[in-house]
Amino acid sequence: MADERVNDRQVTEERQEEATPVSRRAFLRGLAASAAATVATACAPQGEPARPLAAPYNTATPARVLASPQAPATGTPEADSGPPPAGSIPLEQFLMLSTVLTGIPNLDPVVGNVYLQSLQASDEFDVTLADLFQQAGLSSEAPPATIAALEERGIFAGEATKTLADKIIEVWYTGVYTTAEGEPAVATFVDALAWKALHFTKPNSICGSPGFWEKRPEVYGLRS
Amino acid sequence: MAQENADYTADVVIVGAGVAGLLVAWKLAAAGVDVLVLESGPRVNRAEALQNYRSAVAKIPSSPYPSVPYAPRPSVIALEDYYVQVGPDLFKSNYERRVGGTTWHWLGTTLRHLPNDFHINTLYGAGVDWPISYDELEPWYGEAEKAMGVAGDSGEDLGSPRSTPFPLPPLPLTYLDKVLKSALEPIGMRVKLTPQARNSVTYDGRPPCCGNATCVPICPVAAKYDASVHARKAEALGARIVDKAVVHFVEVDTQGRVSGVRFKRPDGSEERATGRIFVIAANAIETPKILLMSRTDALPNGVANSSDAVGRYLMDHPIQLSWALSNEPLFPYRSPLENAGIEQFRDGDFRGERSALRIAVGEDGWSFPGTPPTVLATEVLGEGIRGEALVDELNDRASRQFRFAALIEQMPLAENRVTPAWDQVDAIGIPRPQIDYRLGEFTERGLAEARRLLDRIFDAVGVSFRKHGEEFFGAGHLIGTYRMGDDPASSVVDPQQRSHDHPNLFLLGAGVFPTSGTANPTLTLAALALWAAETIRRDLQAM
Repeated sequence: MADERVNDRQVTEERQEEATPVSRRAFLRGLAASAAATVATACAPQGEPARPLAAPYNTATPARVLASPQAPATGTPEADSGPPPAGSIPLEQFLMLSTVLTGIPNLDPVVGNVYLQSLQASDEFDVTLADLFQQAGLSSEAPPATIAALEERGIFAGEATKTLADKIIEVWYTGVYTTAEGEPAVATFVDALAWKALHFTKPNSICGSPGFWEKRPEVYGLRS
Repeated sequence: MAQENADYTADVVIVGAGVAGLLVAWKLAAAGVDVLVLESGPRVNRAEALQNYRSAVAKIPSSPYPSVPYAPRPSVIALEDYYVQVGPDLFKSNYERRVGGTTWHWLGTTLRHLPNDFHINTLYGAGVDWPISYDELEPWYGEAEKAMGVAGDSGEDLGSPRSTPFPLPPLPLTYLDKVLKSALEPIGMRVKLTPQARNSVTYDGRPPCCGNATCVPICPVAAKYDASVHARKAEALGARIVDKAVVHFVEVDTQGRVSGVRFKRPDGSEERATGRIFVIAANAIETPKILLMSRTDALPNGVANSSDAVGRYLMDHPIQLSWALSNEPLFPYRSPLENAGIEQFRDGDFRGERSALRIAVGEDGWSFPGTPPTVLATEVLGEGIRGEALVDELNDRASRQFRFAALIEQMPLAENRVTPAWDQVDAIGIPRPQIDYRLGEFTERGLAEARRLLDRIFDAVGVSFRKHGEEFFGAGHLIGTYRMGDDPASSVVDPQQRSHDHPNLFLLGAGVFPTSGTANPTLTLAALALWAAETIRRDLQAM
């Protein structure tokens, strides 16, 4: 219960922040706040009244919706006893690369590790993650911070780097990665960025509040 | 031969723990009747089912409910894994085999039939008449609405006169519904709130809908009615529900009375249940399959089948799915998946030439056609749009997605048929359902009319993109394989849903419908089940 109260405060703060048409900065803050939330408040237990959120865009989703993301059998880099495979990068660097590519900070490291393992095990790319990290200039003293900076560095001009970079964006947006067996699998559904990016609603399978669909959303962040 | 087991003896034995079977179990248990329910599939844990949905790559109606080898079921993306499809068209509707049945993944729409739906042969020269009238069924509609918790606007004329108000106040129209309502009024099309078995307020210990927007395939908070409600209620009143009990044979004694049913366990072992009255409510695919599998020298056509109508006249509400991008944002993905509809094409003199239809307003963006936000993100990224532009583009397109499902009445055709595929059996040796199916000309014309109407709608709303699905979709409505009628030569059950051939056998579900009408079938089959429960109670007293 204590955790729920903490979470209530977070939700309240988010509401205050987002009471006006959402800016990109507010959107990013909202993402960070909801990623930090650790308790599912959105869905009441069966038989109890749902506890509504005042605004649909405050998702307050659990940080980990799938209790156990289907991580490849190789486990985390830290758990491996042998040296990392050639061309691999540590999770910290993968998250740094992912943040620049998606434009979203504070990405979930547990889900990120699933994507990292999946991409490193794949043989469908002509460049390695280490190559991409290097070419993106992320190991330099003044690493790029935006997608535009990556474009300037030609990441999306070359087919090989573009393919891998777009794949990184895609896994974060869809929540779907490729298993060691080559099958698609879901690492997270409600924390997939495609849902989190929608300013006018919350992810499917998460409560909004009774009747919130009746009105045009006050905050929708569409291009004016 | 299987042993008789006292654990499996009751006054009333019900095969199938779906909404029909469980409503009967509940009503009879409340009247002090000893009831045993046999369900082929397992029980459902809602939290696990929700987890299954979220972790499924393909979000389809059966995602939360994995198929089990002893009670396999069809899937909309693997239509020939369980069904043995003869054609010429694919039968595209599926169901669940679970305690609670297909109401686990149903949408929750609870329209009543129209009075004229019961007499389309007399009125229009098409199809057949029902042996009952709307007026006879009307009180039972009210009972079913109370049992399931239907929210609706009692002041709205939906063409089905009511003697009682809806038990729950209406859910509100969505923003999208209201925009459509205004846009379509000038062309004479009326968007009306859809009655639904979905809580608008706390009711029966369940919370109001909070817009999870996953009614199909699962409501995370149980605001949507599912028949697990009546599983719990029936068990609390003393009814016994045995899951993983796959009935495959109905025994009939020399007097023509049903004396028992045989069922298999997941390990293939055989059991037998006995009772005084038997109810089979296993849906319009599994019920006829069980009856037809129960053939003997005395009953070479199977049980309850002196008419040769068992398994015939299979119907659905084939769907014309059409989707578009409106010029202005409509903000879908926030509400019950279908919350309003256009109901004015459900009846008229045209029914002598083509099928009636209703148009349901989709509130789930392009999820049904297969482009929910996650898929949309991949599409937009594929166009080279990244960073902030990707976020903007996703919001722009997702907020303008909308779709309609036009549900088309289907005429009963004798050759549309379910039979056991004797040489193609499941993991415990039970034949899979073989299906002969074609849409028929009435339905084809109805689909064409739907496309014409939907073009008018898109023109009136203003869209930058439109698409009519080239293939029809299934509605998940399994109708008409053990039709009711007055004549034992042409129907399977009488107007009380009692077998013409076997006086202690009742067959329940939408399989008894002589015609499909355009209303989603669950409310009507629930009303009929409650009516049958009263008949069964009286029959027991008279025994």
